[in-house]
Amino acid sequence: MNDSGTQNPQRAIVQIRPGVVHTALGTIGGWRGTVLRSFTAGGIEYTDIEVSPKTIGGLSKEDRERFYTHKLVFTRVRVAARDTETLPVPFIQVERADIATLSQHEWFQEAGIHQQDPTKAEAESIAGPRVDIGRREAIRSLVGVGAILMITLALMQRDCSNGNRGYGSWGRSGGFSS
Amino acid sequence: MKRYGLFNDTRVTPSDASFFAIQAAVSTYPGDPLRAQLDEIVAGISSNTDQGAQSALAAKGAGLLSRALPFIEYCVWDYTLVPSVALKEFASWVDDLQKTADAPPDAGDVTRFLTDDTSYFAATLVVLSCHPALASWLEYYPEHLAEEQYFERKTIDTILKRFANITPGPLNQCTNAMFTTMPLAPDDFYSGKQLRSSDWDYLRPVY
Repeated sequence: MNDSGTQNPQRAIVQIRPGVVHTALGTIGGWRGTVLRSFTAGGIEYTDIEVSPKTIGGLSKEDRERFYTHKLVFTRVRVAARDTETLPVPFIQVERADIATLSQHEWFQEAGIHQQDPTKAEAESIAGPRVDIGRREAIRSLVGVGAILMITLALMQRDCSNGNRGYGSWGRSGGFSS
Repeated sequence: MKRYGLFNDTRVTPSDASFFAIQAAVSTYPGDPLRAQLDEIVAGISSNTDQGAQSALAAKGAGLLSRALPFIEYCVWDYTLVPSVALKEFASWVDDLQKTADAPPDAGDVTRFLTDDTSYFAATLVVLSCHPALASWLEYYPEHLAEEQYFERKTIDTILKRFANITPGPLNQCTNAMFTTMPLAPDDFYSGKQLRSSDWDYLRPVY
């Protein structure tokens, strides 16, 4: 690739031409979406599309299951601009946000719920399977006793301030004093 | 050798620290100005020793990622308030990222720009702090999210915006941090197939 891409944010609604097959997603001909950006690479213009709520809603259960279990992001797709045609349809922001959240929750029910919480995985590999339980119990006790939280934070602030003063770097950042 | 995108390689770590990390795979293309800006930020952090300047650069990076939210397609974030685990997790993330940066390019790990699928780069922010700016935010925000909300786009946006806020922000008061972009060469990319492979199985899709 010798030429650089060019970003071109738009709000156009496009439809992918019939018969277009995506490497990972399969047949995407007929899908509609909002153009997030266009760019040129290798002399070809590409379009990044956010797939429309109507198209997502019309996907079969089997397709959605396949996308979720294989971790395929189907709500955005990149295609050559020549494989799309612009439609005279208005852009609706609210529907886009809603369908993204619904898809995220649907993914969680289909696949995410069966996977290890990634916020726990690394900690558990380092410190054992009970470390996260300890973390959450510690939080609950702090939240339950507000006074303890305030005292703890005050102590942390004092400890940080004192403990790092010797290294000099905190002086530049400022922001608190003991 | 100065570590890639790390604030400080020798700073003594505190005994009472919190930890947060976020990694986002962003769709991209040759000559993507976002990728160039982020690479510049990483280079600035790597060549600078002033923590205030490094914090400002990393916060700028978080802000740029927040503005590129529609193009984040895979993500993971992680945190802990348990000090002993925080130190280990920070070291683990930093060592893994540095190991990747040091490794000779492997044709199987990266790809040229894909003409039939989306190409990606990965940006990572790792923060270690003993300051309440991080700990209190962790207690206030991620600890109270339901699991199905973890990778909602608005959750990721909230996280990135928090770290983009330099005054007063968790980066400004952090003990150590790392901000990186991968692959190292701007002409290399990750494919969706690679990001969905077992090497990256911790990444979650962002719909």
